[in-house]
Amino acid sequence: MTLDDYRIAEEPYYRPLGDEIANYEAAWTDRLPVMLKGPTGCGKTRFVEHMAWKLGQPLITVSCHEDMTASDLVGRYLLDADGTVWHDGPLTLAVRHGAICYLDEIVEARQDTTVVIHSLTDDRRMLPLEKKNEVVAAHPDFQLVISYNPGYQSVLKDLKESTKQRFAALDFGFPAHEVEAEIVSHEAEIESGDAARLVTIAERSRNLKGHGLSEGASTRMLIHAGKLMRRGVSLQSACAMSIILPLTDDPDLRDALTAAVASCLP
Amino acid sequence: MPPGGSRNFLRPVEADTGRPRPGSPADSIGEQAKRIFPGPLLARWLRQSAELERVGLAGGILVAYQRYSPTIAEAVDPEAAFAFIDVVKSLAFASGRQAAILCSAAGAKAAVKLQSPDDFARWSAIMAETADRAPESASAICERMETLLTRLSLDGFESWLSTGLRVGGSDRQRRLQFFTFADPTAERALLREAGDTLFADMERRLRSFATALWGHPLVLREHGMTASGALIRRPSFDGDFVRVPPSYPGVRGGQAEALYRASLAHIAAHLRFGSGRFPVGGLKPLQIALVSLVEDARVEHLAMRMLPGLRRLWLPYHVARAGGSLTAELMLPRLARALIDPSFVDEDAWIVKGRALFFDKRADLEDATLSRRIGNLMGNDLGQMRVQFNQRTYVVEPAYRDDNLGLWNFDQGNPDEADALDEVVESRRIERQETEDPEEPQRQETEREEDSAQRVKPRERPDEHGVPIARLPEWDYAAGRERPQWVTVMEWPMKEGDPRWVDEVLHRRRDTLARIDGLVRAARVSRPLRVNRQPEGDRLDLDACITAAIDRRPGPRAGSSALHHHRAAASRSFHPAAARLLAVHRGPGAGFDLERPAGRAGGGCPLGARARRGGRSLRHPRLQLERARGAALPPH
Repeated sequence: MTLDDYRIAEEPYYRPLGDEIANYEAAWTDRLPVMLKGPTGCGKTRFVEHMAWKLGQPLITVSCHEDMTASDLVGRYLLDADGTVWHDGPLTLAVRHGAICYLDEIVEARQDTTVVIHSLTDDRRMLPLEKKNEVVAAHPDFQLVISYNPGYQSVLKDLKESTKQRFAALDFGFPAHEVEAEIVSHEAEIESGDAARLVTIAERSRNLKGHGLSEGASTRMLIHAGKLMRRGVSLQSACAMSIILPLTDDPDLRDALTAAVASCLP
Repeated sequence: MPPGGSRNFLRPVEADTGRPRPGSPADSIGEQAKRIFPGPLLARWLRQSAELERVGLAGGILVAYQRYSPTIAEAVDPEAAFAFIDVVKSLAFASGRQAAILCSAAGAKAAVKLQSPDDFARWSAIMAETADRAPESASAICERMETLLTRLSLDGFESWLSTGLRVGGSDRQRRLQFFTFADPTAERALLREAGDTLFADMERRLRSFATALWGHPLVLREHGMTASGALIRRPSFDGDFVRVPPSYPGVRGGQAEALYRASLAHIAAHLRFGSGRFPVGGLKPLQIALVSLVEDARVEHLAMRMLPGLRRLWLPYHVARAGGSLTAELMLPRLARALIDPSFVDEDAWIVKGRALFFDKRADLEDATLSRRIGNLMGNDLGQMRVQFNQRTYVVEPAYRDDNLGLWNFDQGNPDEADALDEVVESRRIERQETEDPEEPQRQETEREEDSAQRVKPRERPDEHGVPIARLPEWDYAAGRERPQWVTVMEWPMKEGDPRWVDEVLHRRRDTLARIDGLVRAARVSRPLRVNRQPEGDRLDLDACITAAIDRRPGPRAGSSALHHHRAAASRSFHPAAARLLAVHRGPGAGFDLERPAGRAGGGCPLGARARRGGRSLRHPRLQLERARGAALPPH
C-alpha cells in the first residue's frame, strides 16, 4: 500500500517567522516527535503541511475530539460479508507505511486515548495493536507531530506530563505586525495597506484575550476577511462577518469590538 | 423664651399694631408678609402662625414658617401657604423639629420650582407621606430639595423617593444612606429618573472597548457628587484607576456612549503614550493648563498614528470657533482644536504660533517634555498679552478630556504653589455649584443648635455577637464518628469596607480572576457527557456492537459485552451552587485577599456569602457566616 493520496503535490505557502523550519528539519532527521504549540489559526497546520511537502513525506492528519477513542486512532475490526476484517486507523497507517502523522488539537482527545502514542514516542518506536495481537514497528519515515493550544482551558484539558515530555516543541504565536500583514496580503490577495489594517484590527481583539474573549482574531480569520474584501465587501462588513460575529455572542463585546474596528479605519 | 422674644416677630407686629419695630429681624419678613397677604389674608396668616404655637411648634419651626410661607404664597398662591402648615406639622410630629424647620425652606424652593397650585399640593402630599414612611430621612430630603427639583420633574421626584423607600425597606439606616446619597444607588436612581443615560448601563462594553485599544485594562469607577450634590462632569485618572461621571446631563443615548468612548480612548492614550507625572515645579496655573492641553494633543496624535479612526471619535467635540474675546477660557479650546483639527482656520497669532510649535516638532512627539516646553512658551505669551485666567472657573474643554489631575505630581513644589494648584484642582472639580441661599448655612447652624436635643446620631451597630441560625453535623476525624448538631452556624453582619480595596485586589489579581473565569466557563456546567458501553441508553454504541458481534462468532461466552452496547448521556456533577459558598477553614487572622473578590470573577456565580471557621476553643465549634447584601442562603 502506498500513501500517495496523502502526499502534498504543490508547495503550501508558508512565511517563516524565525528558524522554525531549520529546527523542524533537525527534529525530522532523528524522527523526534514534535509538538506545535500556539493559538488557533496562527499557522501550525500550514507549517506541518509545508514541512511534509518540503521533506517529501505523506501527511496524515487527525483532528482530535473528545469522543475519539483509541480505536479511532489505531484501527478496529469491522464486519463485512466475508467475516471480520481489520482496518488500520490513521495512526497505524502512518506507522506501518511511513508518514508524518499529525494529531491536531491533541488535548481535545481523552487522556486514556492519547496514551497509545507513548510507545511511538520513545526509543521503542512501535505500536502494539492489542485487539489484533500485533506489534507494528514504526517505518523509518514515520514521525509523530501533535498540536495544541495552551489556553485557559489547559487546567481542565491538558496533556499528561508523561505525554508532554516525549516531544520537542515549537512555539507559534501570531506573527509580528508586518509579517502577518504580508501573510494576509498574500493569502487573501489584497493590498498590503488593507492587510495591515486587518492586522491592526486583529490586535485590538487580541487585547481582549482574558478580558471577555478566550482568543483574539486569528490570522486565518483575517485571511477570510481579506477574501471577502477582495469580493467587494467593505472592510467593516468583512470584519463583522469574519471576525466579530464568529468571535463572540456577547452583545457588549460585539459593540466594543465594532467600536474598536472603527477606531482602526482612516 | 419670654413672650415677645426677639425670635418671634409676631409679637412686635401685634404690639405695634401691624408695624414691626424698626431694625428688628422681623422687619423685612413683616413687610413681605403684609405685601403678599393683603387685607384679611394677613390676619388669616397670623392665625395660622398662632396655630403652630398653640400645638407646641414655636421657636425655630414657627420662625421658618413665617420666613418661607410668604415665598410660597407669592410663587403659588396664599391658599398653598396656608395649607402648607399641615405639611410642617406632619413633619414635626413624624420626623422632629429639625425636619419641620428644613421643610419650610424646602417648601419655598419647591414652590418656586413648581408654581402650579396642583403640583405644589401634590408635592406637599408626597412630603407628608415620605415623612410618615421614612421619618429619619425627611431632613436629608428637605436639605437637598433644590438639587432634587432642579434635576427631576415632580413625577421623577416621587419615583426617586419611592425607589429610596423600596431600597431601604424597613431598615432606617439604609433609607438614610439612600436619601443622603451615601448609597451610590441613590445617585444612579436620580440620574435614571432624570432621563440621563447612565455609565453603569454601558460600563461593560466601554471597559472592553478601552481594553481593546491598547490591551491596558482600566479600573473604571463613577465619580461621586460634590458636597452640594452637583455632578462632576470631567473624567479623572490616577494610574489605571479611572473615575468617570455617572452620566453626562443632557447627553443621552448613543451620544452619551460616544462621549464616554471618546473619554476613555483619550485616557487610554495618556496611559499608553504618557511618560509619568510632570513635576509642578514653578509653573503657574495657566501654564499648568497649557502644558496639559499640549500633552493631551501629543498623546492623541500618537494614538491616531496607530488608530486613525480615533480622530472621528474626538473631533466632533472640538467646537471652538475662531474670533471672540481674548480670555483664556476661549483661547485654550481654540488652541486645542487647532492642534487636532487640520481643517480649522484660526488666524490669531497666538494660535498660529502654538500650531507651528507643535507641528514643527511632529517627529518628536514621542518626547513628553515637548508638552512642557510648548506649554511654558504659550503660557508666557498669554501672560504678556495680559490675558486673564481664572483658575476657579476654568474647565477643561472639550468635554471628553479628563481633568488632567493624573498628569501632575502634586507632592513637589513649595506650599504656596501647591495651594495654587489645589485651587485649580478644586475649581475643576466643582464645576456646577447650585445657587444656595447665602444665609442658609448660618441659619441652619443656629436652628440646629436649638434643636440639638432632638438630633439622632447614627450609631454603629455592635457586631461582636453573631446570631445562631443553624446547627450542623460534622465528622470528627479524631474520634472517627459523625457528631450530630455539632457546629453552630453564626450569622454575623458583613462589615462595610472600603470599595477601593476591592478594586485594588481585583486589578492586582486580574490574571487569576480571568483564569478562574475561564475555568468556570470551560467547565461547561451540566453539559452531557457521553458514556459508552452502557446496558441501556438512547443511542447504539457502534464499537460495542461490533465487539459484541465478534464475540458472538465463536459462540456466547461468559463476560460477553453483548448486553452493553448503548450510549447514554450523563451529566457532569459540577453545579454552580457549589461555588455559592466559599468555606475557608483557617486559623484566625490568616489572610486571603482574594476570598471575597473571587466570587466576582464573572461566569455568573457571584459569591453570596463567606464562611469562616471560628471559636476553636469552644467544645462545639462555630461556623461564622457573613452574608453579603441581598444574598440568599443555600438550603441546609
